Amino acid sequence: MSSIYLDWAASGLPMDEVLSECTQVAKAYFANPSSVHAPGKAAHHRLETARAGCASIIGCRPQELFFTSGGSEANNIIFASLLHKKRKGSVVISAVEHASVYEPAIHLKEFGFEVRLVKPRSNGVLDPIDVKACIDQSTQCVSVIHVNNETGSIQPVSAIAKAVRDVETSTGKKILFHCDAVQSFGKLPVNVIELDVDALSASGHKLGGPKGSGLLFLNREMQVLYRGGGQESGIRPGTENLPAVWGLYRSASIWDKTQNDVKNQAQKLAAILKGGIDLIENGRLVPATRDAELSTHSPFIVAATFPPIPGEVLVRAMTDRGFFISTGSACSSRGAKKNRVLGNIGISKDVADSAIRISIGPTTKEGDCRSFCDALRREVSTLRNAILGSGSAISH
Amino acid sequence: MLFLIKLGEIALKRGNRGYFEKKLMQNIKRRLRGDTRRGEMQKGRFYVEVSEDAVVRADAVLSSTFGVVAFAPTIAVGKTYEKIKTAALQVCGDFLAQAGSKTFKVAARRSDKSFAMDSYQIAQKLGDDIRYTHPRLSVDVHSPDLTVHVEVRDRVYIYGNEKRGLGGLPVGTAEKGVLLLSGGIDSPVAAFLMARRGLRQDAVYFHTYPFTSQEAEEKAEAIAGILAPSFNGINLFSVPFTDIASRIREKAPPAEMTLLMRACMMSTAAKIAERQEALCLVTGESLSQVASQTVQSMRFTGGRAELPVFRPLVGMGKEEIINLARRIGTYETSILPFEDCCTVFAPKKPLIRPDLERMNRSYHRLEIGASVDAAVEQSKRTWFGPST
Repeated sequence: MSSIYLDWAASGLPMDEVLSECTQVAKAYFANPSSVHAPGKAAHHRLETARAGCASIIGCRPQELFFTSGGSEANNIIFASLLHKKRKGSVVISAVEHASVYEPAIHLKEFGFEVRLVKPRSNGVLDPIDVKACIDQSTQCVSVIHVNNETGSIQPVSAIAKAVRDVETSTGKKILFHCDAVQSFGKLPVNVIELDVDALSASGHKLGGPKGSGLLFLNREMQVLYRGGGQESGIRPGTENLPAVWGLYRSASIWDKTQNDVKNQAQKLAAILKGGIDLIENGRLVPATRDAELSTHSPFIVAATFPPIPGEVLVRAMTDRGFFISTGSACSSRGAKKNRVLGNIGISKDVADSAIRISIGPTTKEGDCRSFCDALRREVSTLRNAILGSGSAISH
Repeated sequence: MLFLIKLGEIALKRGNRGYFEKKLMQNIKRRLRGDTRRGEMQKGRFYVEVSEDAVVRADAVLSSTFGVVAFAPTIAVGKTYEKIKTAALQVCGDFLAQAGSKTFKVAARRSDKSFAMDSYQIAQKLGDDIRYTHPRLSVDVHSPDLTVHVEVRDRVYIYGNEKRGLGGLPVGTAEKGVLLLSGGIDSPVAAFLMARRGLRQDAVYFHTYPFTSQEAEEKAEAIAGILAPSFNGINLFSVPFTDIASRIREKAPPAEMTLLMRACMMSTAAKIAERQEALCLVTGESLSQVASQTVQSMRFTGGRAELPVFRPLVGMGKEEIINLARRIGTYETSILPFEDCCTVFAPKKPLIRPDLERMNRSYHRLEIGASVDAAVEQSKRTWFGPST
């Protein structure tokens, strides 16, 4: 049985050329980049080459870019830094953030912060007016996810940035505007100047780079909780994982160069998936309105529900047919909790429990999506019959 | 190293006491495999000698073998006071090495009345000698940290504090049963309580893949693995139940779904019991815990078994059951968040007080016999051995 990987939002397929370069870097530049001898300097030079390359991709200066162990750590660094603030104030985030933003933000409540959640509209997209209504002179930080990892909704980051800047102007107080760009980095245009963000997080493995690689753009000095070592200007101390950093840089470069073509192809594939889902009984896209609003959703992520079939049941059944997809977010799909993200875009628990996520990448083919839709239709039919029966239940 | 083993309830048996003792000795030796050098029985006491490198394993085995009420590493010496004293000082020295300054008492017992000193004299003289040699030990006859036991029998046995065993009766002395193992908190506790009465058990787990996950099945396997050492090993039968669940869904009203599923599980488990020459079923049901565990519900579901159904938790509350699960060591595994068999097919409004006649009619209308036979045929057996 052939297998088709449709879980790129969880982790991308590694690229051979990137893996090969990572191995080469691990062997040739093994020394500690902080060492002052020749091998150390060579490793340092590689590190800075990667930094400059990544900085160029997102439009920042190299000294504003720090390597981390991944997107989650980059997000956590931002929220942990707020603990140093003498004035606690408020934090504003969307209600559909990834757990690595949502949970650190909620944790701040224990330290006296007020956490304000902005719910998106039913299409999963935030209205900048709603965000602005939550920001005031007490606001220390605003954080918004660029592309939602469960629904693919694209948030209007630059419009929200304008709302943030308006409040800054009227109150005279600086606000840290952070964007979690883990699902957009490399796949959609991500430029920190155009987005007008102060901080931005991204990850390497979503692009097929190594796990354990990520970056944080930060345009201001910030106190962090980590101490000792001083690497990455103290933002993320610890000996740099040069092979992973190099892999992040190389995979991001490849995506960046081919971004338009890959995105156009992804849009075609997303249309095939959406068409296939529409043909399935009780199949519904999430959000239901996404079909008409291509610009508001990443083509790389398509979410759908098939109530009453639990999402995890469908994932198992499709796995047995050789198709690898996810329920909601892979990070939380092993938990049995209520789906916060879908609940916050007005989807009932019963429907949210049946959500699956199909996410694609540059190696996904049209035929993959068509055969996936065929298999999905058959499995949904089989499972629906098993759960509901064929309507011949006997009454007494 | 010699271990003294106290038997408790077995010692009260009269005519068939030898049967229980023999079974317990077999169980211990089986679990210790080749590490047992010698084993003998004496008036309510067992003595098992193991090689020095097997002491830790013997400790683990004796603390988890049903029928053992208490045990202690013991020194056996000839019947002279000097030898008793040397051994007692060694017991105290070992204790002090771990405990620092503490209190003690001597508990002497003289079964062999030909020994020159009586119990009181042994305790008094030995107490003085211990205090003299180990000044950090002071006497406390009411609640000492260390009790030095001296038993004058065929030889003199000297040991310190006893460790508690599981008590009960040796597994295998009360025939065999089949446990309906769900992976939840209750059924392992039920199994434990029945094993403590000597019942050997095989377990049946019903999986409804893909409606339940591989992880849920692995959870049941993990629980079987936890129970197996004390149970003399367990056969776990993993029974595919998706077709049966679908057939019930197809043929019965939703409100009856859970009860009919339970009834089919009872029938299936009874068939496996027949194959395994088991004489009863064991479930973790507790009265009124859920809709399928009311009196009426259990009357219907139990009726499908044609075997006695033992429900040792029937009168226990959830809190008690959880506490026991913690003691047994299954709780942490049971609460792993993988759904059990019934969740997906559970009706929103299940029947609470089902009518027996109506449910029996529903059951017969399922014409489920062939499906049950097929499920039994397709079941996968995994053996979890008794080694610790």
